[in-house]
Amino acid sequence: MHATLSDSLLDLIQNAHEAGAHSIIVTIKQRSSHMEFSIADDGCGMESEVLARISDPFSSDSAKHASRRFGLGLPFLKQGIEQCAGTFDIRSEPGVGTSICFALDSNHIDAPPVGNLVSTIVSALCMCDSAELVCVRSYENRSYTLRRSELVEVLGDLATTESLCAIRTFISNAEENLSSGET
Amino acid sequence: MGKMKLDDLKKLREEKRKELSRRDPDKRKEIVIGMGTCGIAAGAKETFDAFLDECDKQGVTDIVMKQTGCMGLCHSEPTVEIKMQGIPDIVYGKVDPEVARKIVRKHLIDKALVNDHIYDKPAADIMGEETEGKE
Repeated sequence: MHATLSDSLLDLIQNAHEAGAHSIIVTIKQRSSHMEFSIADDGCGMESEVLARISDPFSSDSAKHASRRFGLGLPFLKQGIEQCAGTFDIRSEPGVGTSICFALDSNHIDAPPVGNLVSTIVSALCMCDSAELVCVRSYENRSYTLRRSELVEVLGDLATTESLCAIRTFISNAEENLSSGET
Repeated sequence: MGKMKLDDLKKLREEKRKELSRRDPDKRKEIVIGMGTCGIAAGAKETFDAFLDECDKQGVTDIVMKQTGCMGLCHSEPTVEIKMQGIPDIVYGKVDPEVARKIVRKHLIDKALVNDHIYDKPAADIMGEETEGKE
């Protein structure tokens, strides 16, 4: 359903934010063509009966709209990952939080494209105004970490277009250096 | 370019702040983009990028970007609400990157509405839910 994995990642971060998380940790690891993503939050979590239904596209918590009976993000992501022989795992506990991990070979013929990670991270930093968002990005043995609180300390309000443009340049630079080998 | 540090990030933002002229210093404008599953699937991420790009390019300041979940307007995603003093809050629908840039130029700068993209009615099942609540 989502065109790229970056779009799915943003969708999951939005879920964590709407679950009232104060801490959201996103990791994106890449070794050659193997990619691993994880999102761990300390939001409201899900009861086991709800968790058992997450792959059902006609199931949602109805929090947003009582008369709506579908939640498509997770089922389609799970299906997409499994269709390219990837792995998908979700764990959740009420009052503790939720953790989602998925991994795939991005060279697999059925693998969804990765998409624009920079755009996703910038959008997530703007979106999660009530949580400490930490993003750990690694490529081979190189990595960088972004913490929302540090960026707020440096830039102030992250929601202004000036701050977001500066952040976008910063993250694009970090991604370029990751690929080129500079740590 | 070598690797940027947090100090470089601060300098970059200060440079941008000095370059841009302030048009309405006391009047912040808000761009609220629907970033629920429906919005993201329809391309709201690219819409967000286009707003950022065009505001930067046009030198429009005092803009705050916000993101919201599903507003019940799934049929017209990506949806964007513009809030600014002097004009009623407007919800635009089917805002692709090209329409986003048009909204920056026409609505934010010229204070004129982009009429063929105004969408303010939620989907029928959501409208029904809201009507039931009032009975």
